[in-house]
Amino acid sequence: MSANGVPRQVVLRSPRERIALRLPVRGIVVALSLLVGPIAVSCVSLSTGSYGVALDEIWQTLRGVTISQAIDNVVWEFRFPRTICAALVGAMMALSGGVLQNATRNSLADPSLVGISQGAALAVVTLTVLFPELNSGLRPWIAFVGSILVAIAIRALSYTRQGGSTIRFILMGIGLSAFISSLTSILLTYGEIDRAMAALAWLAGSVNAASWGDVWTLGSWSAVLFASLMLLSRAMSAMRFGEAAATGLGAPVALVRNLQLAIAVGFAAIATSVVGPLGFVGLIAPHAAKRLAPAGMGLHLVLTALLGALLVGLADLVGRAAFAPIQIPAGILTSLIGVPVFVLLLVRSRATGSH
Amino acid sequence: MKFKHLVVALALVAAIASPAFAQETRSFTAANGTFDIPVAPQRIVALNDQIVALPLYELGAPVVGSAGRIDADGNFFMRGGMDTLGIDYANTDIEYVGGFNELDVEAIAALQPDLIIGGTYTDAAVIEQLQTIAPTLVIDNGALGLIETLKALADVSGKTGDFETRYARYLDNVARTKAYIGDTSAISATMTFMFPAGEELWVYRTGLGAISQLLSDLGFAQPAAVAALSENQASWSAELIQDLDADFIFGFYRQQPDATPEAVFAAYETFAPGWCQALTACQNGQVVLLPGPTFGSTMTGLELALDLVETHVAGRSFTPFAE
Repeated sequence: MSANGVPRQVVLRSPRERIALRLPVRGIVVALSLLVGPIAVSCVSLSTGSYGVALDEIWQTLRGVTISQAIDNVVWEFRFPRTICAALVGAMMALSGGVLQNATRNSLADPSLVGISQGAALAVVTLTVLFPELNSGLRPWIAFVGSILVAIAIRALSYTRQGGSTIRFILMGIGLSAFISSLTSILLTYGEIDRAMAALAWLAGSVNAASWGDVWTLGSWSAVLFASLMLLSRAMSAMRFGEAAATGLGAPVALVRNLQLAIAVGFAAIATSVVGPLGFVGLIAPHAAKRLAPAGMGLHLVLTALLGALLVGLADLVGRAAFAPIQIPAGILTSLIGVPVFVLLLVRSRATGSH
Repeated sequence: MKFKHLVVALALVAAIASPAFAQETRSFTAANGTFDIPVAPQRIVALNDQIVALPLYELGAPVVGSAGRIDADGNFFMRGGMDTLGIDYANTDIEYVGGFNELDVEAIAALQPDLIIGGTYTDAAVIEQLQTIAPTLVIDNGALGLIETLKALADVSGKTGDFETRYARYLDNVARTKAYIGDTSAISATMTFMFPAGEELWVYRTGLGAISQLLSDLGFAQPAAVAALSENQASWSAELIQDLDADFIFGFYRQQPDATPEAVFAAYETFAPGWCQALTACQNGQVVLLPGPTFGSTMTGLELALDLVETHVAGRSFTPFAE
């Protein structure tokens, strides 16, 4: 903090000073520190598992030296894609939550609370239980369609003559989420038991079957969606002050809100399609990012993504290694951490009168 | 001469260390495609304990790893393993490789299997991953039924001869029991599954492992409402419990630690208070609770089921159900 109470900042300018970026020093320090977290977790993940591989063997394998086909498989086909997928999925779910919270101006918004993850889950369970003959490679697309349909339904149901109401969006989302979960339960209860078992494993939210194909899917979508988000971040900053103020600042409010919802749904749908529903990451990460460092929208999103990557990376590492060969899905661990955080936020929001 | 011995020894060590390379292979078509599998696999990993590991072990196949369960004390166990075959992880060389829907792929890789066998309950993405370790077959036990599944497992493990011998003995015993009973088609039986909490009553037309296979092999009839089921099983309404009435109603205890005979009978009462008055089978003491292993998918389970049904149907008198 500087002497006049304004956080210390650095200003990055383009060569002809046409573009300038003002960044709080604390935010940059936190971002750099957080970057170390997912990298450290990835390193530990690569060197930990039920298959005993020495550190120097992992290093040699990563350099392209084949010690044995089995070690190549374990490192390149199992651990590496799994580690990257965990980080990417965490970042995507966190960003989805962060963007939803901004779009709805509700600090409790999370893709798993407002039904977006459940829409993806219902679509995938329907595919698995009712159409087992269809290629499982269709899963991401089906999940995406499920999420989009739910998001459109919530948007339509929460629309009033005065326009889209954010609190209605949340309430409709929670209601629709419960309804969709019931449909999923019906499918699991009355579907062919073997198919239901296969679907149940996916519903627990696990990164255990991550492949390079999944890394490619997650990576390419992340790049597109994150770039779109960055382009939108200035208008999103204006939305932080409320719709009237944002309109006054020249932001196309309705367009920005719809774009934000589309991006949030995209992040959640793609991530869910690959690993199943991961609860509460989208709730925890944006809040934690805010508390770690006050920052502008762009940097806040970066911090949120890094925290999400760290959270899911850690959940996956602990879930697969702490009690190996017992495997605890990452989704169970994120929910274990997320529920108390959710309750805490509810209590705090009641105390401060915010929502 | 010494050099020659050394070469032979090294060749032997290499052959033992990498059985997959030394093995003769053949083509096998499973539910997930056609694969080159070893003619006589040496290290099999089962992705389900009850459906895959137990029947393979029973046939003498070399099972080195199996998915399993965890009890309340945190110990690993194979469902039905101790009950049926007297085996578990603690008294065999079989390693636990995770739950059947949360497999530890690295633990499987560490066992260096030359064949991996799962079912349609295994996540297709995990099956794809496991293909990088060894041929991973999906045996669709739901579509095949119990006997064809056992035949397929015997086939892939190179134990067809052992299976056929035991299956022939079972069929002989079924014929003997039928001779004791007489016209089995005149006797009806309902298969039910009740958890100790009594929340739901499941009724099976088919697909309840050894007991449903046996009742079908014996030629028993089913109540019309059960025979008309379009699916293998259905969750039954308490209000329609009288539709299940038959000469015999079979259920199970010991399928979980808290599923004692008393607990399961109490569960029927919880599910449908006054159920016993609604069913002549119950009024005549012909609701028979069988021990859990009788629905396991093994030859041992089939033989146990046969002994129990023979005892209850042919070994004592019973009151026939009259509509």
